[in-house]
Amino acid sequence: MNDDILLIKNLVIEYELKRYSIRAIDDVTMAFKRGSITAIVGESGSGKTTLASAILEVISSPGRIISGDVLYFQNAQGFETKINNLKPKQLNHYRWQECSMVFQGAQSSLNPVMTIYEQFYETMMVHATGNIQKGELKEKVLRRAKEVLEIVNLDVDRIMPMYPHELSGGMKQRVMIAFSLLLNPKIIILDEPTTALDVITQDSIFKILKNINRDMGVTMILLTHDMGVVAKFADFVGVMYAGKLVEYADTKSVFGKRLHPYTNGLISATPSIIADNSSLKPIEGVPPDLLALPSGCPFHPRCPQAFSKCPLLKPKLIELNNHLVSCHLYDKEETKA
Amino acid sequence: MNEIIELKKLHVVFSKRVGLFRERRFHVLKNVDFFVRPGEIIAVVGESGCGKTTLGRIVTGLLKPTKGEVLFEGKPIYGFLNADFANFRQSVQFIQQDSYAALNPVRTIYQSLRAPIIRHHRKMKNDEVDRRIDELMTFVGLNPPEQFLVKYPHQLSGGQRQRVLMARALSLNPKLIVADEPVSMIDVSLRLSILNLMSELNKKLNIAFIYITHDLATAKYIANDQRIAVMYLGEIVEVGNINDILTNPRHPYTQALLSAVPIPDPIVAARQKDIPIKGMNIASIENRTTGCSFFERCPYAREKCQHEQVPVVKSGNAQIRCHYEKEIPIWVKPQ
Repeated sequence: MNDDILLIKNLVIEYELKRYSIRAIDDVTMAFKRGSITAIVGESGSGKTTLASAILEVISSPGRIISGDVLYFQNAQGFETKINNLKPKQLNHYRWQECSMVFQGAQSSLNPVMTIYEQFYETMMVHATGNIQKGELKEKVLRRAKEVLEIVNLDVDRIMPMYPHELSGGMKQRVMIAFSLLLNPKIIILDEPTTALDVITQDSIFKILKNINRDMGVTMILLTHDMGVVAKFADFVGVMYAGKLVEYADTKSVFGKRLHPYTNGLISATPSIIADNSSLKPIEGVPPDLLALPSGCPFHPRCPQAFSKCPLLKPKLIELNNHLVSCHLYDKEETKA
Repeated sequence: MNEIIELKKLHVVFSKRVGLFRERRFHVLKNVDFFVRPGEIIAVVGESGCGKTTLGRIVTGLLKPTKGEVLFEGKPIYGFLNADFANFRQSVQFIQQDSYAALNPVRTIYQSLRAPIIRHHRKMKNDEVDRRIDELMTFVGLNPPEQFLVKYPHQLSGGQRQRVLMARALSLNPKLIVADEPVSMIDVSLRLSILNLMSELNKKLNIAFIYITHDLATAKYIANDQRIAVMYLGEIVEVGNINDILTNPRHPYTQALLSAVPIPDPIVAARQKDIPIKGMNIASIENRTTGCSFFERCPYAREKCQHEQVPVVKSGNAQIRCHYEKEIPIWVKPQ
């Protein structure tokens, strides 16, 4: 038996430029539980999107997997598939039928000169297997489109003949979610699905996503920087900083313990409408430059709890009661145990 | 009173030609009364498309209202002669959302900061201008100034560019700064420091701020114990003290908005209830009725709401636009 649906193992991704290379993902190991919602939190440049594109095997050039694997387990019996070894045909099946993605900015993910129906049709056609007649396919598209658009609360007959510019931002985002469901995937990656939407629309979209997760058992990976959204929506949280996974645990544990100083900083920098905000404080310093990463722990120049060891040694990811953290503050406890 | 800016019965209508003779009209701001007192921070919140940016552009004089008056220190700005208008322009500054688009990409920071100063202070000597620029840069936390002044906008981070915009807005000693979503494009860890800078400017230099946003949490943080105006479809539906409104919102729309704000605490978030609202889409601004603009989505709406013009009523310390103010249930804050 295997609880995990996806396992990222010692993954290293570099973008090679003329004179130097940028390490966007630095030795990340992370497991995603079947049927869970896992949030990956981090600022811009922390490697969230690169990680997601590694899962779909769509890393844009000049990016390259240097080492490590992305393993996919189709069912609980655990036939593992190495995503980075798939042949084009298998990859074509894996993308969208096993794992799909809702991209950031739904506005620009839809083709502006095709109606929603045509785009649904195109996707189904590309992924259709065997000999399928045109009429048969058309019927299949209509049936499936009706199903998925109903899940996201859109009026099928009204939406299908429309062009993307006729839809509002929230509607486009819901069409994109319907799109990602089209071929019954087991995993959906959501890259900042609600930025640029207002809170009421955001709330309704997360309700829909939560229903999809609960009713259909779809595993979701949410990339975001909004701690409020994470608290409301995710079961597990992974915090990334400068291409490294610095903390990983279930949501309550992360918010309750905040083991890593960066996680603590992020949560204490998030204003809330119900709390007294007088204890809020920003994280000092600026996000790291990936070209000139600080030595040792990349967070040490901004860390209020940094000590002599931090600039010298890279911390390892250690486990403390099902709570993964990568910080020298907890090294000692590891040796005790 | 000594308001810096006062808007009276303001209407803005945008029209768009459709075909040869027909015109589509969008009533973007409807009957807006608004004022800003010296040294206060007022947050303007609402969904996208509710007219909050239009309000900001009216206040800064970038857009002329279709109907109604804009008063600067008690005098209508569109009756000003050149000198008075220049004074108004200097006193009211604007900070845009996209700091990258707001700075000229082929000018250094020094050139961008120098331009407004020499435009308005022709007689100022060069070394005086330089000293002023250094002073401004230090004030907004870009230290040492020499290191940043020679750079181009693309060489700075989002947070640093936003600080440059603050410095540029400050350079003419304004009385009011309109900040349109100044932190929405900045990394979370840096947002708070920009907001802190704004409240520092407010306290030290007594500059008033209009903070335009859709994020109620940051609005609460910056306008702590000051005023908030909630907008919906071009109308100000609720205005009053922010602490009062966030604990006891009286307008059904404000209640819905507050219920939807995600709370960064998983235990509280799990207990959040459904949003008291009908329909997920913001109503179209085109086919609005004469009545309440929130009518279509309001769970408490009745027949009267659709057609009868809504009066502004007092509710506690706040002023709201609602026919049935007394019958709206009390909102319970998630804990």
